[in-house]
Amino acid sequence: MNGFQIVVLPIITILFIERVVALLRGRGLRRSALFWAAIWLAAGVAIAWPGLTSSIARMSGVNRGADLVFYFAILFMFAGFFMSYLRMRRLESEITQLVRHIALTNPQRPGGSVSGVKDDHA
Amino acid sequence: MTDSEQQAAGTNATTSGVFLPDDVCRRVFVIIPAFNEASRVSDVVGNVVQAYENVIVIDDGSRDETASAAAKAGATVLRHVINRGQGAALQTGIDYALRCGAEFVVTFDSDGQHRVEDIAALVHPIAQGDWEISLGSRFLGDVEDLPNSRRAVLKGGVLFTRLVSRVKITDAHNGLRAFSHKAASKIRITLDRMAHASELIDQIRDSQLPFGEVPVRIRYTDYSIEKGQSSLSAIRILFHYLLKRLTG
Repeated sequence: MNGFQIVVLPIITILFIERVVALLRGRGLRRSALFWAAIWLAAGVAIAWPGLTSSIARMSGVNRGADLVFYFAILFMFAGFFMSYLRMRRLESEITQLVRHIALTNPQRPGGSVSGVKDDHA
Repeated sequence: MTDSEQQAAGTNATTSGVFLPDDVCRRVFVIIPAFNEASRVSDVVGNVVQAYENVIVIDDGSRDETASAAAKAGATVLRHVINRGQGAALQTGIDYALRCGAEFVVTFDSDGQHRVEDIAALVHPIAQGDWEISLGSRFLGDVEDLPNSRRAVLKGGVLFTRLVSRVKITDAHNGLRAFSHKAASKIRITLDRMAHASELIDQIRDSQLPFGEVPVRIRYTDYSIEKGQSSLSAIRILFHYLLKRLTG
């Protein structure tokens, strides 16, 4: 086992266990916990047995194990962006509903003064 | 109503000579989303309230005196405490109008591009029971001082709508529209910002409610061009719309 493996593998193992425990205890989103548990498991296996990625790469026609890891990293990065985008859109929608609720419960009738709602742009 | 009475009433006549009876006008709710429009909203509201008593301005987190100017001019004002975009403001206005028992809901821009006279032409086919939704079309009607770049983007939007949404219309992004109570109840705008216009077309198609286009006149000014979306922002709008279609 080289120095890199000695330093990184325990960290990845802890991260993996933390996600598995979260999954078993039902904390947070089940899908997100599964996603990250799979990522840490794959990373751990690739680091512990570097030859394995090369074998898979040769079988899949990519040739180099490092290239295979790189391609998967790009794929996971895009998947991460996409999941973040969905989460952000859900949050945006909730903010809009809150803002709408405040607006609908405080209509200002014609001619009446508009009471000072705090200006968030100030 | 005689011609002179109609002229005195002033504003709900169209160039095609459509007039709405007073009892219909009282059931029309005009929704005007506004963001930093203090310099224009007063004139716009002032013109609309001469013909329609139910005018709702949604102040979408403006930093200026838009809300007080609209209220003084005779509108009911709903305030978004932070800016959420035109789509969100329209949905807030629709929700409020429906709560107030609106039978006809009209969306109208706050920058002075639209004519009050065109509202009657939009509401008329709905009041007659022919359609549930009327969409204003500047390309069937008249458009003044439209820059060529904006014309190209708008025409591109029409082509895109025909190809992707499969709805045959001549003007896909006109803010002047009218809905019956039934149609307004079925519409649910979820795209807060400018991509809502394309989302609306999809929802109109999916609702299977009868709709049609009405010729309207749009007048572009330096102010409205400056306030409006840049031609490049069409790419951002397209991106948001396509992602929404992709993710549901």
